[in-house]
Amino acid sequence: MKRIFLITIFLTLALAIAAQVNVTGIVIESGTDEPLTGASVVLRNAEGKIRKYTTTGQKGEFSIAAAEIKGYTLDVSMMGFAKQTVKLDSVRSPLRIEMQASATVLKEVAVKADRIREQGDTISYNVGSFAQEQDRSIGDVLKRMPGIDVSSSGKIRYQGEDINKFYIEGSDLLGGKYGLATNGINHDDVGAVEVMENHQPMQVLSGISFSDKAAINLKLKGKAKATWAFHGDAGGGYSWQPEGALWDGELFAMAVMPGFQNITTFKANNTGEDLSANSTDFFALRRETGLSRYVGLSLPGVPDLSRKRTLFNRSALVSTNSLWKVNNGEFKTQIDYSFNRVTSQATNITTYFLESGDRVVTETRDGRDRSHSLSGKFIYEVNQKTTFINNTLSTNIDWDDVRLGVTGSLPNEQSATLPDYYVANRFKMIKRFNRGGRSHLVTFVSNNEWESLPQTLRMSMNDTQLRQHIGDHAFYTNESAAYSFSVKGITISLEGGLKGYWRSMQSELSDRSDLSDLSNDVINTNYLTVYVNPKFEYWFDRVSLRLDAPVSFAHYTFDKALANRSEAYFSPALNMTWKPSNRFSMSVRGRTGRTPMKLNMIHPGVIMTDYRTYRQGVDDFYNTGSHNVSANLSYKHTRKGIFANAFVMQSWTSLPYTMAQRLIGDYIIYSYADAKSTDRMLTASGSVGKTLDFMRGSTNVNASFSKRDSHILSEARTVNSSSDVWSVGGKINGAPLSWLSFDYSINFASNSLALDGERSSRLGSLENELLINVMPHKKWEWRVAGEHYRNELAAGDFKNVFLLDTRVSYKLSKRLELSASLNNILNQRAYNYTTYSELSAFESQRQLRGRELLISISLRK
Amino acid sequence: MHKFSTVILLLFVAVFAVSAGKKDFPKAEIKVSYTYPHLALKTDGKAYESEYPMILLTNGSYSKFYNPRTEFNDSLHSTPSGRKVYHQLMSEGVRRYVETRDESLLPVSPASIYVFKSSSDSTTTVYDRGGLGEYGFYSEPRGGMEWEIGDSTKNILGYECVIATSEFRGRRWTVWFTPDIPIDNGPWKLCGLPGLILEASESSGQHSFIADGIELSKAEIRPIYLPKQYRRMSRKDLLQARRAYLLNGDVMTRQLIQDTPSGSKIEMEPLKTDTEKDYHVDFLETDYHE
Repeated sequence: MKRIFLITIFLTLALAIAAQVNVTGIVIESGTDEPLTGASVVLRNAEGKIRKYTTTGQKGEFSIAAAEIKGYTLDVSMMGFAKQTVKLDSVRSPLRIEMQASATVLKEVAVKADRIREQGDTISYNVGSFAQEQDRSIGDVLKRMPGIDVSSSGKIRYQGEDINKFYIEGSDLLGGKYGLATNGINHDDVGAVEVMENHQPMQVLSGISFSDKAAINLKLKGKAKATWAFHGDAGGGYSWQPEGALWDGELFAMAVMPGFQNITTFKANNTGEDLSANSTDFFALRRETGLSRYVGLSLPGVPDLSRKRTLFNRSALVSTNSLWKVNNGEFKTQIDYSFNRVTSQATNITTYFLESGDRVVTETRDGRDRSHSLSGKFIYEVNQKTTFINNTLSTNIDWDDVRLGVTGSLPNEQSATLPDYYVANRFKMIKRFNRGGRSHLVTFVSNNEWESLPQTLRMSMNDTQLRQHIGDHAFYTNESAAYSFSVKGITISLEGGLKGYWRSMQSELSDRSDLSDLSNDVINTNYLTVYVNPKFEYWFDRVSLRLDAPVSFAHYTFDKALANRSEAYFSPALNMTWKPSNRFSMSVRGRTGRTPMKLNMIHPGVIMTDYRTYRQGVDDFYNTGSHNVSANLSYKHTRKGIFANAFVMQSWTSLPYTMAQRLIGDYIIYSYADAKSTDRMLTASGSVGKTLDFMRGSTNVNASFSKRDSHILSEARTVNSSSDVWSVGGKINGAPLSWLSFDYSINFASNSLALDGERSSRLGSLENELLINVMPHKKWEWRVAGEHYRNELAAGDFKNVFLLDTRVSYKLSKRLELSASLNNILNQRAYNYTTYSELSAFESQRQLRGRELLISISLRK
Repeated sequence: MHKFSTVILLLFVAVFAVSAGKKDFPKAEIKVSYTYPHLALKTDGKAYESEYPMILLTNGSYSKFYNPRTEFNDSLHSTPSGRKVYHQLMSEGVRRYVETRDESLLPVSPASIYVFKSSSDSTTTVYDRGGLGEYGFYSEPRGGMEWEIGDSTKNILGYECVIATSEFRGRRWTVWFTPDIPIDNGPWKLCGLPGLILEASESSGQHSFIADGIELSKAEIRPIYLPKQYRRMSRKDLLQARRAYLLNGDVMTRQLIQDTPSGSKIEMEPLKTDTEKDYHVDFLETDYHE
């Protein structure tokens, strides 16, 4: 009995033990049989849920006890080894698990603390954490940084406001031509992009004058400093339209040394890449010579697609920029030459459905614009705490030849020669004296500008030859002195000066007997202005306020063409900024006042502006009134990577005249007629950007709206017109997998116009763009990009265009890359469409760049 | 001969000293950054919301959890030239702070804690600030949490994470760890799971750690820069001293300012101490109260 009892106990115990399964084993490295310590051993049930876990001991051993193991698996993993999964149903303990060494691939999410950092007024973006595989220049990466916006022209804005300086390692080498740097500098050479908010570039004004603009500074990596960095590209290929050879080349050299900086670049292409973003001066001051072209010969317009699809060009650019640090100052030279030849063609076929049979009118316009531009800038600057001196001498010569041929019902040939010569010297000196908590500042400014803008237009039509020549040149001078003193955040200054302006224009239209008494013209428009500009500035803590109240007295002389006259102007402006915290900033601006008309509108004679339009100037002196108020709000949270800004502006303009047109034969003559016209415009825009750290990407959403209402009171009749435009867009980029990155953008725009309350239909256009970049192997890269456009031609009538590109590249070495790209694979050569009205059909035919194959080699040092 | 051997000995010592100075520190395998939103006490006993990054450098067997800015400041303090740089940064920061009242301009250390976890001897060593001018360190057994793994999963930074919960020294922690990164580690003292902890929060909502970046890193896991500053003390003593300082620090510093070295006392208006203190706000561990 006792025995039976014992047996029962033993059996029960045995069963209990059997119910508790013990999984044991060792984990070793495959090949060496070395035990692995610290490997993670996880027991999962049939649904994959974790039931038990342990880590291996000093000898690689492990032991896990579980209630049951039916359907269970055992996962063994360790950094640096491939994970092993064992189905426990098919094996028995002790297990021997061999681990294969393998690089652990992390879904790398750059440590965010490094992506965007903020210290005081400086926000630092880590370039490496924003760059995608498809990026080359630093400009490509800037576009991905939330808060920074790069427009299609290359202009950079931060939180919706234009930047006021662009530095490379703290030096202002390029001035406003920073497109050279953003398009040229390899992003791999830049460690960080720093945005300096409220940047005051003149040290003498630091702590005195508040700036609401931001500056950008590129912090280069060590390897790109104190040496010459080079890179070059050479590519050749074939294009299906225009049929022929393609070329694309670039050479870029940069030296950033403590006492010397240089950027020299050479670029040439006929692949539709617009080089103007490389040489545009985004900080260019308005030319006070005030000349503008009368001859308006422009190439036929291109369809509303991305520029690289519609630009038929041959372009070249050479630019060399140097900066030397001398004693206390800097000496800079910037020399550029660019050549651009653009052609464009358009055919319009209008069919009139008539009872007597259809009548077809065809017009083909074929244009070519060839321009050369040579400019040089020589700058000396001292920028110290008590002294600021800047002298800038700029010279600019442009030659622009335009030829436009029209065949069809009104065949004609036009050609225009439009050179431009401009020289300016701007000098500014500020001295600061600090005494007993007060600062005194003395400023002298002397600006002198001269410009000559001759224009010649030749036109031949129906055996008539016409030649319009205009000689136009002007000299402008502005001399001023200012005194300011600043105490405890309040600065009061008074500026006084003198402006002089002398301009003479003669126009001559040959062989136009019907307009003979109006076809020749000589006019001088001069003025002399005395002005004072009191300024009050308050800047304390987080609030800044600035009031400008310029008063000027001008005397105009018109050399008998118009009666001489004197005018007084007062145009006060107020600017207020409040930064309640580091994250928010808001500002309100307002301005009101009168401004004189553009003097080049004064010409009693008639000027031919193209083959069928003429312009007649005003016969009286006018002033225009304008007021505007605007508000700006920005928010940022750098740690979360959120940047947002909103802008709204309302402006009112009143003009005492309006444009009138009359027909004389086949010609249209534009003139100005007395009429009170008022214009009201509302503009609003907003943008929100955010980093997407989970895929090392970023996103941006933006929207804009503008509405314009104008009333023209002419001959006791009021004409009201109202138009509005709104757009929304978004973009997103990222690298969700280590071998895959993408860019996607979408934009929708819509506009409508109403005349006297009668609204024409609202037209919209939608644009989608997607680029996918795949790296199947370290050395190989493959890219596919598609663009889709859906343009509304007339209400409910859409034109769809789909374009597809691809590119393959192979890295021969760290420095050498070969690539082949095939653009417009589907070979979409034309953008044709037809719109119908009740009595006619209108067909438009435009050309697109056809399929293109380009093989390139890139080298970098 | 005697001279010769002295020279040899000196050379040997020099070489040894140099090699000791160039000691190789263990290398990390990965670097994880966490953001640490939490409620903290100012020295007037008032709670405020604070948030700053913390870094975990780990290689599977050894790890360091710290604030990068604190470490940078400490590294400056460890050399005379560094101290000079720090004082320049400080005076510049103070100057600009006075102008703008923007506290982020001051080069102050946001967090004082350093946590080193070692698997080989299974210890956790903590360096932290105690009371006024007082720094302490202690070692204790690594881990100590008893995790219960749940079924919920969620995605953090692209990794599938599994939920786990445990009581630990007065707080209830809910963490999310990923078996895809087989490293037994996490923010602060948290560890003991078959995968890296990417998010941790405790039930009162006062403290949480959220990973916002992971990268492979071969950074050195170097020890603290100012070891002499710390003295060994018990964990509870350290926490009690720190708590006392945070609740009454303003009064303590005021006394220090009033007592001049000459023994006289500067007359100052007494501090208002009647304000309500946020006693409910506490440290990561709350079991130190007596």
